[in-house]
Amino acid sequence: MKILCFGASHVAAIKAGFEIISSQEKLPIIDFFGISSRFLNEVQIVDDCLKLSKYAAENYRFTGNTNSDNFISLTTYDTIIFAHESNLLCPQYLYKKNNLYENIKPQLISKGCLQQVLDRYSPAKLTSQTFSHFNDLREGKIDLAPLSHYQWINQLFKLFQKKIYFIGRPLPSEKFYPKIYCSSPNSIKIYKSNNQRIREIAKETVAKNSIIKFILPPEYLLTECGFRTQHKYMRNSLSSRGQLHDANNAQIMDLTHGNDLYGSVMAKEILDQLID
Amino acid sequence: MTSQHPYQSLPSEAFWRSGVAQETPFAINQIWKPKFEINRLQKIATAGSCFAQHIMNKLKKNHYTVLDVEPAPPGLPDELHIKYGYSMYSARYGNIYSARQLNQLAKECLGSHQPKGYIWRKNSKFYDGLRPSVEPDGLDSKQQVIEHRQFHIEQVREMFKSLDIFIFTLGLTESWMHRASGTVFPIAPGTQAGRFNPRKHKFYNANFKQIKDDMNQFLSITNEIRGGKPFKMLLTVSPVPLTATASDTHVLVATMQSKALLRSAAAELCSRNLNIDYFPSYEIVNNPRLNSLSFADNLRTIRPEIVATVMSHFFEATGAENKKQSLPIATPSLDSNKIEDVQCEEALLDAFGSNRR
Repeated sequence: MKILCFGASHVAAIKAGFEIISSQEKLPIIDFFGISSRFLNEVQIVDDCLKLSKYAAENYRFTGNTNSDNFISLTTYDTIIFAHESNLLCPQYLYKKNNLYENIKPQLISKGCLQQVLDRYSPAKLTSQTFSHFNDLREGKIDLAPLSHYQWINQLFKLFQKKIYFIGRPLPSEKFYPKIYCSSPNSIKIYKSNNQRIREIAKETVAKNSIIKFILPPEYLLTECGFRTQHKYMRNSLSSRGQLHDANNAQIMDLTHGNDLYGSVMAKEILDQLID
Repeated sequence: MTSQHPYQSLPSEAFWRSGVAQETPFAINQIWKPKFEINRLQKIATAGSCFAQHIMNKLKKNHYTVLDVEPAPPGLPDELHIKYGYSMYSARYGNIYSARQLNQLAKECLGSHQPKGYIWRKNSKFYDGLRPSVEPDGLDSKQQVIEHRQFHIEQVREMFKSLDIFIFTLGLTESWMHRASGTVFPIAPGTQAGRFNPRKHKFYNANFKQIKDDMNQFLSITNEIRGGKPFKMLLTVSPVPLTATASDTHVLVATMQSKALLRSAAAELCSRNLNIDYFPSYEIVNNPRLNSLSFADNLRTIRPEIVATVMSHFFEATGAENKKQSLPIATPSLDSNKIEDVQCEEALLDAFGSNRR
């Protein structure tokens, strides 16, 4: 089995995680492809190959082989690990502020409705809206600028139907805008209930060999609400989007990228699914 | 010497010829004189039968502060909102067709009524029979139905506490009732889910007094929920005819009777309460000057141009819009496929009725 782990900056943690595991067990062949999200629009799929523009070719990292024309053949891979875009548990796709409350209070959402929300990555339903354009995302300063890369990602998903394991990006740190979402005991109960259903749906995608299989971060990585990552699993020194100055430690904290530990946990989860 | 009589000094809108026959039906002068101010800063909540969805849509589009205490998940595509009962009204109660249903909901919010017989089953799924359309795929267990209902009621209670104006469209007098508890349902058990059992369920067709009593109880209960904080209510009567009647009369007769009773009750409530007004959407749609052009091919669905006309009267009277600037096109389309999408469980009766031709 030959695997391609694909994404932008979040590929780094997964790569680090697999490297940690590789010292303990024999792994399938995995190549890692990461490109700055600013250059995602500069990628195309042509004849089952990733074709990189001149600008993209100057801004990507790849552990496999590339030919001289900046083409990366996808046909040599059996499986894609997709480490980009929103995690299924991302609250901005689930909860919206209403005009009665200061912060965002959760709604109890049925499994049928959640299924519709989570189906947004199905090739037939993939639109630019899937990836951006949400005011809540922009307010949270977490998502990318509106992009059109969904078009070729759609092609990628079609090309690898039933062979894509979608892990998305990590849920942001518990220190990331902690007051946006209501954290009352009742709200926590609702988050948990919805998250439980999302986890059921994710498991079903694997069990039913769906077009895209979703792998979620295990609950122990997350805080009580289930959509923020415990800070110890996040990178603390990388300057990037979602950064915050920590007054206590006088350093810039990266609140949106997982660290090696996060990567190794996710790598184990991925391997468990692939072996099953 | 000219004789004097009371009609001499009346304005043009008091006369049928000048008020209706010679008046454009798209901009009827003085058809509604609001009793109280309705502005964009007041918190407005909406509920009622299918037609009320149009009111909600138009208010939102005109930037009124319309409460939505159960907003759709942002990741749910817009075209699926109505399918899951979102964005139809200020909460996910689905269509509230009758005064009894509204009264019952308020009682539940107050905690003085516990509905019975409302967990309906279809195949292996469970439904809230008090709003069966909001979860078209059903839920996995009875417990989930109970949890979702509890959550819903909490949100509706907050809505009642917070609103400044409640807009309610009276739609039907007919409903189906759980005999033992008196719980009424928006649709007959067995149509969308559940099973009809004549020993458990009975037909209920409210008369004038019952409608009036239910509405008065609703006012009193809402007042209690709000701790006495005053609020205003705007009533309308749905111009949409009945899809079917179980009253053993012709559906045309049943429709006219039902609308007459609802209209009378609205007038009575309006005349006895300073905080209740009536907006004549029913009259604007059924204006004989329109020669039934208000309706699509099925003579039931209100055409979007007419909905726009109704709401332009609303916005003009409330000062939000100049109606002369928003006249509909002269030859409106009759294509019922282009009708603005609204959810109407009652229409299911048409689709599944055994006498459908």
